[in-house]
Amino acid sequence: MSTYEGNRYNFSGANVTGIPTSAISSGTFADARLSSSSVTQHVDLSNLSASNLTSGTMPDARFPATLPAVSGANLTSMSVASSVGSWSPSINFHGWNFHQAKYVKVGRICHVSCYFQWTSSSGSGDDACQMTGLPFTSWNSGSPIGQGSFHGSYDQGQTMVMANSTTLDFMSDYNGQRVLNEHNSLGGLWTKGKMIQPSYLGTEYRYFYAECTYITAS
Amino acid sequence: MATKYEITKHEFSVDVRRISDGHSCAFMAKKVWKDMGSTYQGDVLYTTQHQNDGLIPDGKKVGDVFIPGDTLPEGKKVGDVKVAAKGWQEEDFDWDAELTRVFGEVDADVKTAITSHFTDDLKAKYVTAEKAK
Repeated sequence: MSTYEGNRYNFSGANVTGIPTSAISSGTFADARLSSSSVTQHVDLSNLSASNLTSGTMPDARFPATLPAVSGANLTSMSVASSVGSWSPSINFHGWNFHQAKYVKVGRICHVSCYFQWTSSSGSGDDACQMTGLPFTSWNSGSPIGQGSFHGSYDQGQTMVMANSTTLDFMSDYNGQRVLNEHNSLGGLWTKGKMIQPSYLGTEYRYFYAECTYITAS
Repeated sequence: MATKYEITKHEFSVDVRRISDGHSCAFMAKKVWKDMGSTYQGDVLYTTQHQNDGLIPDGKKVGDVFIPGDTLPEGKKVGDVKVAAKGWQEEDFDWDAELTRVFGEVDADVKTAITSHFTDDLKAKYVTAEKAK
């Protein structure tokens, strides 16, 4: 091998300096040839597309205290706090069996229903007959704050919940007593006389069903 | 602090909900009602509504007596006062009895929450508010 050939194969390049980077016009640097600092200190993320965020979780601190306003139309599959359960109605006159009393509450809307049976007479007088024990207090924002219906043997009509109350009122259709004037002057509710009617019939006629939807206080 | 029940206090009431099964009851501060007395009642007759609903038994027809009215003393007629009205009445709840009736037990935390909320002053304001309705 000649001296030139020998030097050619032993040439390390260590003495080759001053080559401009513009001279590097092809090829790819191996990862190991790039320092981490040269990437993280000089990369510009200001125009990074959000589509590049494909994994991980944004830290809470990265969200602004005031979130951007969005149209409610874009909020889908939202969960609303709801609960279901039973309640314990009570009527101020006569004896009753309550076979079913359930409610569902979604937000501040409560729907109650109950199925009950007259069992005995007690008391006398024309006092308004009311069902107490609603599962939640009604909203104190004017009356009525809820409405529904009831059905039973020889009697039917509307149910109502007044403001700031835990009582279900009854307005009977019987004898046409289904006007608010009567509600105001006479209570407009079942009187004992009307409620006693089932006692004159067979047991199959002694059942009542009532339901009502009202706005709750909280 | 109650753990078995959710308790929510309102102006004149307390909502109590048992967490395990959702059984719930709202309790007002006091029993308040208007005693309206009573008047003598006349006969209630079978109507076409009863007929349409198929509720008139065999042997009876529209116009027959469905519910007999009161036996009228001499000089009295239907609509006369039978028992004089007493007007507004009020009565405290027996919370042991109420909680037992509704929840089958007297939870100490629930009872404390109710009795501490329903002060004499609050109950007096509630009675005033009811009478104003």
